[in-house]
Amino acid sequence: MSLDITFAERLCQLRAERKMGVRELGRAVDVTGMHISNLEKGKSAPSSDLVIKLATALDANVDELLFLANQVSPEVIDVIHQNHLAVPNFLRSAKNLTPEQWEKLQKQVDKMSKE
Amino acid sequence: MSELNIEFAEISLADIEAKAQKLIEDYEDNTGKRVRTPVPVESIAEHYLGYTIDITNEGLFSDPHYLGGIVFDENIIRVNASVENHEGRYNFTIAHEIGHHMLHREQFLASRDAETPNIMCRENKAKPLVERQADQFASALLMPREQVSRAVEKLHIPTGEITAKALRVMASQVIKSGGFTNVSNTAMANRLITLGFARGVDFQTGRSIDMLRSTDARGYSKTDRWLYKKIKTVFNFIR
Repeated sequence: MSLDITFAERLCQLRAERKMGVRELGRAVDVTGMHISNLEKGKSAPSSDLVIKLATALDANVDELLFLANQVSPEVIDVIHQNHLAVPNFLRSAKNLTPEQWEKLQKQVDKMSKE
Repeated sequence: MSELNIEFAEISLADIEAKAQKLIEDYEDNTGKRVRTPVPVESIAEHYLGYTIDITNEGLFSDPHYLGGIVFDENIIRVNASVENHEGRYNFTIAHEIGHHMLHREQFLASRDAETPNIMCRENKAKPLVERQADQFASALLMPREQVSRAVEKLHIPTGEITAKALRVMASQVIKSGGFTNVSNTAMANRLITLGFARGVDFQTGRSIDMLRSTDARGYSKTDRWLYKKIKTVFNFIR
């Protein structure tokens, strides 16, 4: 996931890669073509719901787009609300982990989820 | 907006038609797909010519008279948001701006000076030479001669001298039979006149030339004079 790109630039890139028209994308996510143009120019900020719809329409990674749009998935917010003490504590403890350790941790969590 | 201070050359209609046809063929070669109607002008502009389409209502485009514009330096085609939901106008505007790219870009970039605006605009009122040329290009691109001819032949309808009303009906039938779903009735009517399938009607407006010709020195048409006589007869009868 590149940190050097803005949401607007990534949206332009994805639309070009999928060869979708500006109105076509707008219609797929229930907004006007002008709204898509404004997002591509960085003049509007999308809601998390719209980012999720855009990711689906463009067959893109929803977490990448949410991150670039500075949004948090409603699903993640639910997890925080349901574990309002555990999640902040966990994140504080994990803040200095390396990417490799995060990967290990992810595998461990995946294993636990299947149990 | 200040006017373009560049003297553009005349281009024959045949050359404009040929350039539009060549663009379609180049696009087909590039994509490996045959272009069918409706001609995908959005895709030609964005995915082949490398422009970004920007639908906007800001700046110049807060005025609905400015339907579109092309900024060569930034590779942007701007379309007025007021036409976004008018299939015909939206596509014609993009095709018109592609016309500027194909016909005027080189000369614009070579001849401009500090006074030249950085955008060429499509207005729905004033029509200088470059705008008429871009309109002709848009027509040829959206309604290729061959496809229109085939659609007319398929209908087995009489061509030639025609009234304005019959031309509207004919345009609508050709749009349907030829699959030209992204052009307006007026655009098709004008194309049918250009291609010689309809005669006797005024270009652009679709008004009957016969009606215009028959006006007398005071500006009254045949219909006006006929109505006047009838009213006078009835009036005399009552009196």
